[in-house]
Amino acid sequence: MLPTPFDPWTKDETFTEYLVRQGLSRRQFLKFCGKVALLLGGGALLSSHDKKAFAKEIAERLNSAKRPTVVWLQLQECTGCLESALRSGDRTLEDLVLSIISLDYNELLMAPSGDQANAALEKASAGPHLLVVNGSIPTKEKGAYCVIGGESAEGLLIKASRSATAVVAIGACAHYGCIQAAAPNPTGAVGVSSIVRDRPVINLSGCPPIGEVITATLLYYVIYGHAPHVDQDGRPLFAYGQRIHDKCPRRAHYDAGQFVLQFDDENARKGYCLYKVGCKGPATFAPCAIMEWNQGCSFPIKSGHPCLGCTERHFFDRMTPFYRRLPGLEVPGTGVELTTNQIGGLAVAASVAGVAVHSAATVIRRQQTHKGRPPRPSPLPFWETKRPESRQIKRNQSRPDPACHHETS
Amino acid sequence: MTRTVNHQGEIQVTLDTPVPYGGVSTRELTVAAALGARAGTRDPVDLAILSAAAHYEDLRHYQQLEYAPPDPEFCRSISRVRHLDSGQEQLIARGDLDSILYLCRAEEAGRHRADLLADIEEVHGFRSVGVARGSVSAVDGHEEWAYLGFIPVRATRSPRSRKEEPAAYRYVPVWDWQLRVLHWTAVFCILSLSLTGWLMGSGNLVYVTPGTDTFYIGWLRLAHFTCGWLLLATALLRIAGLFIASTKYQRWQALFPVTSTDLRNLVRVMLNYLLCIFEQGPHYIGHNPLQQVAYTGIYLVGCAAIFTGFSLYGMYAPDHWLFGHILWLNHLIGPQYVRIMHLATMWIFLAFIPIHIYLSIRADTVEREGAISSIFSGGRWCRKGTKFDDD
Ligand code: HEM
Ligand code: SF4
Repeated sequence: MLPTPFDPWTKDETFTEYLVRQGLSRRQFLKFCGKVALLLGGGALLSSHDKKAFAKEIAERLNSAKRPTVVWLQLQECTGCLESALRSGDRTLEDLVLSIISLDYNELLMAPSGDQANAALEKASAGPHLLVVNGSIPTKEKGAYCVIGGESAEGLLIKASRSATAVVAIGACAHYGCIQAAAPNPTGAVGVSSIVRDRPVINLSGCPPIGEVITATLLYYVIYGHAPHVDQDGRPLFAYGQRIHDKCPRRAHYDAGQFVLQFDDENARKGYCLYKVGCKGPATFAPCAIMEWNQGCSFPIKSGHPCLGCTERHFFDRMTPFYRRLPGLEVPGTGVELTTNQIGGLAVAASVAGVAVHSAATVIRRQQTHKGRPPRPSPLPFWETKRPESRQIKRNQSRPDPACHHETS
Repeated sequence: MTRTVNHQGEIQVTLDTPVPYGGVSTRELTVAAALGARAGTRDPVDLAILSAAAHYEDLRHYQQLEYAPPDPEFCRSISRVRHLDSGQEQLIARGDLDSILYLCRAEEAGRHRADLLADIEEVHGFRSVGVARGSVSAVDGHEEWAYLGFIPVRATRSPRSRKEEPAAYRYVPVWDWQLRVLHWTAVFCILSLSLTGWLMGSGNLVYVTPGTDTFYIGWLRLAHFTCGWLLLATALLRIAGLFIASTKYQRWQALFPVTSTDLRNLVRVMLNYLLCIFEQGPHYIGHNPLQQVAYTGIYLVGCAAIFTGFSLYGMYAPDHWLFGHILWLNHLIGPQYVRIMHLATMWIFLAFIPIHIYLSIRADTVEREGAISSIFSGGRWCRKGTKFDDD
């Protein structure tokens, strides 16, 4: 019913003209717009609060939208993100997006190769275009870790971004470098925003991001001609504005204090909360719990696996260990790992012990000195009492010796 | 150790345990000391000794025949008394210990020991009243004296109320009621935050029986966040207090050792604590430099707890008009490490509390600085004549 990618939207027609050419009814078109509106967050973050009005707005804007040129670079990555985008499951939507954006250059999907491919890249990069990037940029050894067509990833990216109207970094690799950037980051991998600094970069984080998030962002761009609202990390708020934890189907069990303690226990079968087996949902901003994966089929937590936090910056360094709630801290030089609570417990024990030792020392010290309330020397005859040297107290100098004293001595 | 306290009008006389010499008994010493007083005396110290002796013997069985008041040269008085029943007469000399010892021609060693004991008494405010008993030889009129011992005596003015300030002390308001309310609110908040935080964070002790419908963690979170907001309000008021508080011990100048004296004292106080020295050392009405540094440190830990707490709290709405701007730490080190920092602040507090309580109690009991009572009452008694470096 909706157009296939084999009959793409051409440069000169508006989107409505294109749809009419495809034989699409107005009703079908509006339905499509409603779907897009839902994807973009029901308008909560946009101008209109009424979903219908929002869908209408999308329709109006799409009516006059012109087909943009898109350059889609794949750098240091695993192709997983593009797989995710292609196999989001919703044939119609994703086909539509692919036909809308008409990829002028993409290593994986384009037909031409060799010089032709390079020429296409050069041509597309010259005019205004939307730049989409998968993968990180290795910066060590002058970029030798990723070279395409004789050009380093960094060089390619700089060239392609020069006249780009917007840059969309798709996937954790393009966001900050993902796994290859994890300590010790042997290739010096960085994300797109570390290289492209003169224009806004939209980060669609995740390893990989959900396909619908990718298509929705691209649609947003087509509809509005500018980037959606983003958070401090450059991630669109419509998708990354809330934590998984706050939308999680297991949240009721969290609030009740019902936890899975082991993966094969009774509670796991009951579908309790995965907090204690390391779920990073409370620290992870992603739409997994709302959109879910593969056309709303499922997502990790729903299928019983704790969230790894893959949409968060440096998740491979910061969200590990994946199956524990909080990382431990290694005692330098020993290889012994202690949890914060163990270290804190030791600190409290040390504090209490310190107090005990110090008060004992005070008591002992007081018995030796003359201030405070000293234990009285026993009123025995002097020849029966022996006082150690240290206990002898200097005579008070200020006390005037009576005259009689001098007479005898 | 017995200590008797006598109130004679506004004078308070304290007699410490008498220190008899040689084979002399405490009873003998006390009675002799009482007999050495002038008949009909109104002197508070005499009255105290008399009432102590009355426990042992009925002094009405004695008659004073003669009394020589203390002369400036020898600092001792001599009285001649007769026991009415036996008719026996004796001389009692009383006064400055040296003078009494000289009278008895006590050997050097014995004198040294008596002096030693007397010195010990003197250091914490006791004076020693030396007592000797004499007899006159019927043959040549030669006086024979025997040293009996001494009684430590201290006379102070009894404090009756703050308004009638005793001469030796003055009352200094240190912490106004606002600060004390803030302090105890913070104590309440930090303790409940620690408890609720630990329970909800670790998920320990919450194992709910299957099938029951609870909101356990939800309530813990509610309590935690409520106390969190309260603690924030406390902190903000305290910060305002740094500039507008009524006493200077609460204002921002008291947060750090500022003068060079303070810095020198910082080292001294640290050594004092380390080596367990408490008899000397700088005196401060408010906090001494080490306390200043420690308490400013704990203020900073409190700020860190609040900041990391709100960094975690703010994650519920990263596009919030306010919370959206405090999440930079989450982006810098990741929410998991913010949690660890937040958790660490709790442990720092828990480790700080025993030391804090110990040092405050110690300041009251060992150093007599009155810190623990001042956080309840707001002020403290300062001994006049003591030099306070922050007065
Ligand atoms: C002295 C002050 C505080 C102490 C001792 C304290 C203690 C704790 C502890 C132990 C945890 C659990 C951490 C973990 O194991 O993951 C926690 C979590 C938390 N605290 Fe605090 N806290 C304090 C102040 C605050 C404040 C001022 C706020 C701000 C509202 C706050 C908000 C939070 C939040 C949002 C969490 C995470 C709760 C969750 O997992 O949903 N805390 N706190
Ligand atoms: S499973 Fe994870 S995201 Fe879901 S409620 Fe539990 S901790 Fe939160």
